[in-house]
Amino acid sequence: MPTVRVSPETLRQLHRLAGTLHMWMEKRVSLDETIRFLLQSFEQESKILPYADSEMNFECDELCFLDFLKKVMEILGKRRVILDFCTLTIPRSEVERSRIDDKLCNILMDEGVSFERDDFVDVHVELEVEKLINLFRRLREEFEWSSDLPPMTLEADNLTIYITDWGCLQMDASRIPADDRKKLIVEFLRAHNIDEKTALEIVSKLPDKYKVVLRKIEGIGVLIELNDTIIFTGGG
Amino acid sequence: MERDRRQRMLRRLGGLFEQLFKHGIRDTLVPYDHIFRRILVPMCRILAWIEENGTAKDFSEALSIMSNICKKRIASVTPSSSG
Repeated sequence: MPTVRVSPETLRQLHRLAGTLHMWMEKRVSLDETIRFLLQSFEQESKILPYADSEMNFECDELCFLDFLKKVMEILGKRRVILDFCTLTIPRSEVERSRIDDKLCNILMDEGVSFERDDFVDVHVELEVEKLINLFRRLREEFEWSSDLPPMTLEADNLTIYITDWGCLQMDASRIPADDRKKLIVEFLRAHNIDEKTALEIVSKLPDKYKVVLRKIEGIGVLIELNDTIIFTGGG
Repeated sequence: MERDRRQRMLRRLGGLFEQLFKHGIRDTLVPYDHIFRRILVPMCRILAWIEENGTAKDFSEALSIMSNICKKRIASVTPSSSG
């Protein structure tokens, strides 16, 4: 049997998954079976019908997120957006939140972003894209995004973009022209080291209506899930 | 509490509930605590806030927003009986 080398972290995750499978199946599960389970889950057809044909979900590499966000705004032709969030929703205790709110208020004042504060900080403000990017860069530097900052939305005209976490952009693209949707996909792929030729080839094969998830997975590369089926893995 | 702010909270609640559906049937794995920390906790906080600061009408509106999302999402994800 060939030997497969994996990092200690992957090994830990495999053991953890093996433990979960052990509980489900009520029998001992080897690491070999665990890996086979993972491979099968990639091949499985979804039992659930697609719930929409226009969702776009981008899970961007942490480092290129801001550049990608800027490109998204450029492609969609948005120069100003409404940033909306409140710190009531951060996954922290009230005491910790108050400390975060103090620091956040100072940054918002520094950056000239208006806000309301009582028990928590509430932001609903229209910003130039450039100013938004600068604010995000600063927040990213000063906070542990996933734990200290809440989910946010960006609104412009009829479009709402959800930023569930750092790097995660989700939108209902039903009102976005087909060409712009393709441009968004090409831009994401290019930002993740997929060459333009390959990116254009991928979008040229897209159907008229689709829901798409683009993800960067550490150690694997970019994964494209079209209407619940993985159609591409590549890059690195 | 001013009406604008309560409306904003209701919109946020609706957005998070939509996200819960979208994440709920994802085929590929997301970090194990992502849905809990980034969707469920925020939703619970907003619901509690509305309960404490909103009017009866706000609370009924919250339910109506969530119920409308349920109708839309459940109708489109439930496989047909022949399938």
